[in-house]
Amino acid sequence: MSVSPIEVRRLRVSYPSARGPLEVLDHLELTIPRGSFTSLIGPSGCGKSTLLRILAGLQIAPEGTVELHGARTATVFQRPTLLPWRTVLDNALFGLACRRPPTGDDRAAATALLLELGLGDHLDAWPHTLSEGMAQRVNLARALLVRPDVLLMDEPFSALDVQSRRALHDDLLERWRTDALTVILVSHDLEEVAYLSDWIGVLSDKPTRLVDWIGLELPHPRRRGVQRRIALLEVMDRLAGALEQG
Amino acid sequence: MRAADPGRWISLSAIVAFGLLWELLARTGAVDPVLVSAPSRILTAAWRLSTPGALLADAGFTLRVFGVSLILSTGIGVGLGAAIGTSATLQRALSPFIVGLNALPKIVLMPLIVLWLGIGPAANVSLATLMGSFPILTSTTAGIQSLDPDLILLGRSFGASRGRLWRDVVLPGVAPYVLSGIRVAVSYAMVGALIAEFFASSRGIGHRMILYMSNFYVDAFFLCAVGVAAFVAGCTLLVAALERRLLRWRPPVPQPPGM
Ligand SMILES: Nc1ncnc2c1ncn2[C@@H]1O[C@H](COP(=O)(O)OP(=O)(O)O)[C@@H](O)[C@H]1O
Ligand SMILES: [Mg+2]
Repeated sequence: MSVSPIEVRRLRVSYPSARGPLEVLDHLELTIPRGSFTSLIGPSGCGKSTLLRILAGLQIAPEGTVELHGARTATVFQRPTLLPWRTVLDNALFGLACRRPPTGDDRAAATALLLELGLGDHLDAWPHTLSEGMAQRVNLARALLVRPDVLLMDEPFSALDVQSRRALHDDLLERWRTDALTVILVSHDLEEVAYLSDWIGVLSDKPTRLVDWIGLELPHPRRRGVQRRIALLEVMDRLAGALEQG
Repeated sequence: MRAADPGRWISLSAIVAFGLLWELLARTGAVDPVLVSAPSRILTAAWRLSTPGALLADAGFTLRVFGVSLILSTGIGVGLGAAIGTSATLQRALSPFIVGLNALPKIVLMPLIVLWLGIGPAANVSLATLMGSFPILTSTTAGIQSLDPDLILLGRSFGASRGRLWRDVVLPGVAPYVLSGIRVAVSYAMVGALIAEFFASSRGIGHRMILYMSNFYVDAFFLCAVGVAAFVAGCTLLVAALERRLLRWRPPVPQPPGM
């Protein structure tokens, strides 16, 4: 697929603070290939969420540009943030419903996706009855159902236990392959980004620059077998090194 | 609500037991039935009322004042409450007045209201609306401020319009708060309507109660009191049922032990 990449050019963001302006992103340059699974890691508070909000169009870039070439985005936030008064199915449809009334086809698609994500028995459940992992699946379904070109994910797995996290990793990889998505994942879990990504950007502490850009060509599934696990560890080692440098 | 049935039976039994005890005390002369009446005397009074048409007309008057006031209270309470809940500036500016007015027993304003509007339904509606607006206003403000800002951000991230956000996120989130405000406002508005009638009115149940009392017709006075109480209780239960229906999605509140 030769679509224009997502381009972040000389992006600079600073927030006002008690001790003068807080430089968050410092002329950040990024080129994210379309169709890639790209992860961004960096120390807490370096501006990862800010960058995602700008990519999602929720925040305006004060300086610099972000070029999406018309790609449609959908965001998966860290917390599932379900509407507590809607059932699982209606929550999954909420993203779509923000634009237009959902059709019967939309409901069928939502039901099928929720089934695939293991929520078939919970279509009519209220959010408060769901586990954290199940809620995060609804969150993922809600974003996927708007058929985005680019899926933006802000530490979506950090609140989950290891089992649900790994299960969701595989579900996400499956969707990424079948839906021809571009995924941009923010995380601070080295193992996670090494397992999932084909590109990893390492960000420095504030004022934030890109300190490393790593392409991975490891075959999936990467947690299987000693050879692959060792390769995974090597990637994590390099990431840890880059983070320390930055 | 099947689970609530045992509780409901206990309440009903308690009401019946209270009525029987009241009747018994009055019959045996332990209390003076001329002063405290008795259930049988209230029923007899209802039966023998010399002018039932007049009582019904008064009830109708009070009901209209109450109804109009409740609608106005809801409009004012929700409107002002939403404005205050969404604007910090407005909240800062208006809160001294709201706190002050809320602290003031609204009854003391009745002479002013009569001075401005004269004796008549408009004055009664004003007092009842003044009393009914506050609980709705404060609960609406609380409802808006309790909205999860992430839900708004979520809607925006999916490109929801302002109207869509209000309809799908703000309204369902705030509606339970508004309803609980209305539940309280029901009794406040009725208090306002009755007090206005006590004070300055030639119509209404409140006026009629004063009339009965000045004729020392305690049984008929009680008849009115019980009727008003039953009506307000009925309205409150109705709103509470609506609240429960709207709040189906809430996790059940754990009952403290021993209840
Ligand atoms: N709206 C804001 N106003 C002021 N400071 C902010 C705002 N949003 C974020 N910040 C600050 O900017 C820095 C980067 O925030 P964020 O993008 O959330 O980082 P990350 O997601 O990498 O942890 C943090 O120090 C944070 O405190
Ligand atoms: Mg963040």
